[in-house]
Amino acid sequence: MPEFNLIYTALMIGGVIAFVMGTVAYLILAERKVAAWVQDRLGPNRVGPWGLLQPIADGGKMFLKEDVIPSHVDKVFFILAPIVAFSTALLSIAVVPIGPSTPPPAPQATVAEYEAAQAAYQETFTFAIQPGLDIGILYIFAIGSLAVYGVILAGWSANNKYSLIGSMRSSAQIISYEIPLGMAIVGVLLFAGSLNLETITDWQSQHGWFILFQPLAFLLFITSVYAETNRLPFDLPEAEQELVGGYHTEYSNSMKLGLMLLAEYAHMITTSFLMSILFFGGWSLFGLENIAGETGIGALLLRFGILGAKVFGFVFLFLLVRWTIPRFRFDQLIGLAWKVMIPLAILHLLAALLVRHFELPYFALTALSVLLFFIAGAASVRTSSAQKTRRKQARSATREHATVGA
Amino acid sequence: MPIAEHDVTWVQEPKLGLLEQLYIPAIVDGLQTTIGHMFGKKITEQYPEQEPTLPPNYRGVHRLNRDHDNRVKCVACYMCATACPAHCIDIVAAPAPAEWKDREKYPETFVIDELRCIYCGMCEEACPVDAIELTTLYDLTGLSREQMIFDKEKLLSVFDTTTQMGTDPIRTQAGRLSPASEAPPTAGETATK
Repeated sequence: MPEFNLIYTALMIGGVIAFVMGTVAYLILAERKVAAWVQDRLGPNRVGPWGLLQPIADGGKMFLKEDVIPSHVDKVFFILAPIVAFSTALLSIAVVPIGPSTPPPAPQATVAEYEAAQAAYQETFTFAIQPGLDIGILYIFAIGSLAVYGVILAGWSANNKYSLIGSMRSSAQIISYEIPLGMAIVGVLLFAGSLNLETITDWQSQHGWFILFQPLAFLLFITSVYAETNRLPFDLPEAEQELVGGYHTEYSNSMKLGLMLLAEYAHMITTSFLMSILFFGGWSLFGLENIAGETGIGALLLRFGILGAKVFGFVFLFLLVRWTIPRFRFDQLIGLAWKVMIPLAILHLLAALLVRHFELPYFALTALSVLLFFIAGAASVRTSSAQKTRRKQARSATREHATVGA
Repeated sequence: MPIAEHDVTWVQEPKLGLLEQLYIPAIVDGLQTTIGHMFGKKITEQYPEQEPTLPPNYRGVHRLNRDHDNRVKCVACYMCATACPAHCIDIVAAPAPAEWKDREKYPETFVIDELRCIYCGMCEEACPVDAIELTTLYDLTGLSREQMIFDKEKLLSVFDTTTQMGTDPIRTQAGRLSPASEAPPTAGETATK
């Protein structure tokens, strides 16, 4: 791990937090705007031109509102829950390179070579709060799992049935979907040979994006991500039609609720970064990122732009999917994770292992990936028709029984 | 009555093929619809800037019509007050001034409680001389309950404003008043008829 410069790191932390908070604020506006457009409405347009000052007005409202703590709640955890949710959401972005990055040096044969590589690495600059962290993605998953504590604490401390049901659902959902989430990227890690996100980006800029080689892994990953961030179609923890507000029912619309919502949107941003970096090559764009030169301010801006466009695309997809796919039933949700995604993820991992071991061309994995996907589809056609025949038999049996009874 | 077997229709769910079970084509299809609506025509009405176009038979605030001589058209027959299901109309009748040859009575006061009114339009239908009409004024507001009780002058001023605006033209021709304006027939006349 390289030494770090305190001032750079402090600047980076400030920059990243300001960036995430600003994006989150405008994401809430974007969510409302997209929701309105999809429903043939205009959306907020009264505060400032096109409603652009709406987030500021909303933020001001949240700070100024009376902070009500109901008398029946467990005060300590009630206050702790939004803090946990928010801080874990911010922590997980620490290792994500938000711009151009340089991979940390690989192990070298001799100490002298290693020292030289390290010295060269110290000269470069990576736009991440903690660059060169070898556990990289593992750290994100660890922090991501902690985020569920915010939800569970909120649900439990609120002393409210709706909140509790919401947080119970959330815990079951997040634990189930962590498995395919983790499994899906093992294939990526096998090929990149590192958990470090900068190295993974670098591998993709040399060999091509992972979406080309592992489309199935991407599909599993994006589905799990939607479940992890509690977005539709998997937003059961806060299904407002059933659970009032879900785990945040008891939070009045003050800054505590604000922190909960900010945490949710911050997760969306982090996971959009992850999807862009793990499967869509981060700042790379098939060599086009070098149009403005390898180094210099032009290349820097271009790479920022490429990564930003990818992240924006994924965030936009989050917003669109919300208005496209209806919510799953809870048994369907858990069934999807355990009966479909986990077996598929294991099979995909097996395919990746085979390709890696026998050193087959990367596109063999693409073929295997697609093949697995179609096999899964065919299998589900078979099982659903088998279920239907069973149901039909049961129905005719009851019908006969009724006739006999009559 | 129990349901007979031949009344029951068993509906078969459509069988999902391979393409449907993969879900991806269906999701793409859904996303296309969503995106199509995103760029479609918006139906929002920007209210304070953009006034709604109301149908001519919209039932808004009442008005008391004036006749050619700028007198109130009402003949205080109480038909509207009787028809009103919300009992929001209060009329005090008085003998018409001597120079008003075409009628016997006129309303000394004519008060409508706009908060009690349910805007059903029954008064308008009941009126034999087309003196009361509902206008397309929809943005009725007031700061107190007292302000929402409209007296005769207020109702006549509604007539003035709405006819000036041109949104609510006088719907009926102001001709001779109907028999409701005339003196009730005497006992002898009724007997001969």
